[in-house]
Amino acid sequence: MSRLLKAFFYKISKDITFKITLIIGGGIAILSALVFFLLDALIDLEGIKFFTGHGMLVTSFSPAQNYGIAIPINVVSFIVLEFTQGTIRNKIIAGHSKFKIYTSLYISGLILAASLLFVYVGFLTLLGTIAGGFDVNVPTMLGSSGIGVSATPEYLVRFVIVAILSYTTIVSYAVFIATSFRSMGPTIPLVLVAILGLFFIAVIYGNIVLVQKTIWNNLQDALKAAEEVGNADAIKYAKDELAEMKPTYDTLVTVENVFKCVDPLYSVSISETYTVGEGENMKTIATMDNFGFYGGIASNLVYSAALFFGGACLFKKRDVK
Amino acid sequence: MYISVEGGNNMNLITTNELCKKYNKKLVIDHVNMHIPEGSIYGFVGENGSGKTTIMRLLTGLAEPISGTYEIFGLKNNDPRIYEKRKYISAIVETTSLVPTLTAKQNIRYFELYTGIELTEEQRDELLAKVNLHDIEGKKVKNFSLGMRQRLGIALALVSKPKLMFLDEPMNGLDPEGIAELRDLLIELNQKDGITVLISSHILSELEKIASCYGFISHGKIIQEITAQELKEKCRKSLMVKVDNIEKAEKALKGLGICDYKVSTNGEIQIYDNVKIKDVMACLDAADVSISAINSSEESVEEYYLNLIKEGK
Repeated sequence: MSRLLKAFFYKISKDITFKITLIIGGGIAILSALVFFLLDALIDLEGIKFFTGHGMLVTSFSPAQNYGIAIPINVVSFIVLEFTQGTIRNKIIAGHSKFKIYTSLYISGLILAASLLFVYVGFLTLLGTIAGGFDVNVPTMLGSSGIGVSATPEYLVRFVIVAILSYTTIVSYAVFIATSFRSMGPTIPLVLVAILGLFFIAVIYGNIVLVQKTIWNNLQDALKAAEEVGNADAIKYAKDELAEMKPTYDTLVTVENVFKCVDPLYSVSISETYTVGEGENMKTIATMDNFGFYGGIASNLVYSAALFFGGACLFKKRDVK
Repeated sequence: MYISVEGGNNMNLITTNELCKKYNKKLVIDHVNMHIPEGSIYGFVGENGSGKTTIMRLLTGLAEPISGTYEIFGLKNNDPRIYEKRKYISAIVETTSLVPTLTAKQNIRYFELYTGIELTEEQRDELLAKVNLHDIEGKKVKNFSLGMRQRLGIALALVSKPKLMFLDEPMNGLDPEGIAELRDLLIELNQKDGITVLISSHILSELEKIASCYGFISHGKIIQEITAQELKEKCRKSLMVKVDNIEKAEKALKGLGICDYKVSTNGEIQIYDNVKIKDVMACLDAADVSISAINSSEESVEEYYLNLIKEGK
């Protein structure tokens, strides 16, 4: 299999699409850096920075951002060309088993994706760190959580782990679809629909839950305040509202926990935050709960493994034209 | 009629046993039994869609049979050791498999990497010279003519120093000079390096010049396997006479002891028995049959194949 990998890496190194995407990745990173740098220079948001290392790490790592979409398209293009150019045939004729060929294509796809991602995320994070530092306590622009959100080291570690695994699932799916359909026509739409579909489900449902969570938290704050001042009417109102809302709220949260375990992109697409402190000292901090973290890991590992073995079996069974 | 080369002096490098393949529920390869002797150039002849390419695809591992087996280098197709043996096989099936965005040498390098062969720059130059590809330094394959691609495909097939080559219509796209060069190259590879070649081509006159045995296939079935020597004997000389009265002529010819002949509707009789023209003329004259044309000819491989197909129908 090492021979196949060497050959695929050689082909990737000569691949013009790969080179162009790398250059585009670098270009987008520089352009984004310039925009965020100007925003920080022109807008004073009292301690909040647009352009920081930790902010760029989370923002650029999201699988559904523009460059994230370009990555599976590159993987698909690399694999489909093996079939349309007929070069996959030579490998079978030369005595490589179909399982080894599929595994090599899969590993090459992962490495291709990792290279493209590393250039974009690495470059943008590096520039962000140089311009705005990498202090997780500094409120910044943190992906879908928006502007003015701080992070914790634990959140960053959790986010990066789940995001890497999300890309693994995306590449597994791209390899599966590309080796099944073997032409660009149906493969690209199927890959895009799946990634964007999962992303939009996460964003839409995540926002519905977010609104409900905000109302729920506000009602609880109101109840607490009413109890402190002893306002019986306000206490009754808040309790009634919370009681009325509870069944819906519980259902929404339960369904979201299910989503976290079945939608591989959910945890890295939604914005979960909590607040600490009061008044001027109040801080919004991004978080990824255990459902999001362990559910994200489990779902991505299960999907990646299922897509890999499913794809390998299908590839082994089917003839190569 | 089935003339097997199985019992010949040579060992068979490939044998198939009741090989079958279906596409879209249609049986396209129908219980095929083939025997390709080691060291032979096996000319594979059949009409379009007869199953030549499918058989090559089955034997190269690109497709799986639905039933039946085959043996290559003495190993059955389901023997895991066959993967190791396949490195001694090279093939051009349907089209040449090249990366159009790479140059000829880069394509060779790519091939080297996954076959685990390391060629020197000089060896790559020699290989390209062998297939007559010159002055292509830096030129990408996408800018090659069809003939140049075909030559490069053959160069790739030679990288691994194969013992067995499958060539599906390798003469397609080649000019007459290119066809002659390929013919000479295949003869050289076969005779000098002992490479066994399974080659299909529509240009039967070219196959005739190189093949040492033939397999005729029609509608997914092998209708005959025959050595070139046997075929030569079978492509008999014949005498064609065009007469005004077929019935009278037939009676007269039978009287002369001629029994191997064919009658066509336009008044032509093809006589395969070894007879003298003057005897036939005298015999027909005596029977009051007038002759409008008479011609002596020898059957080509193409005619032999076409007759075989007709008989099959």
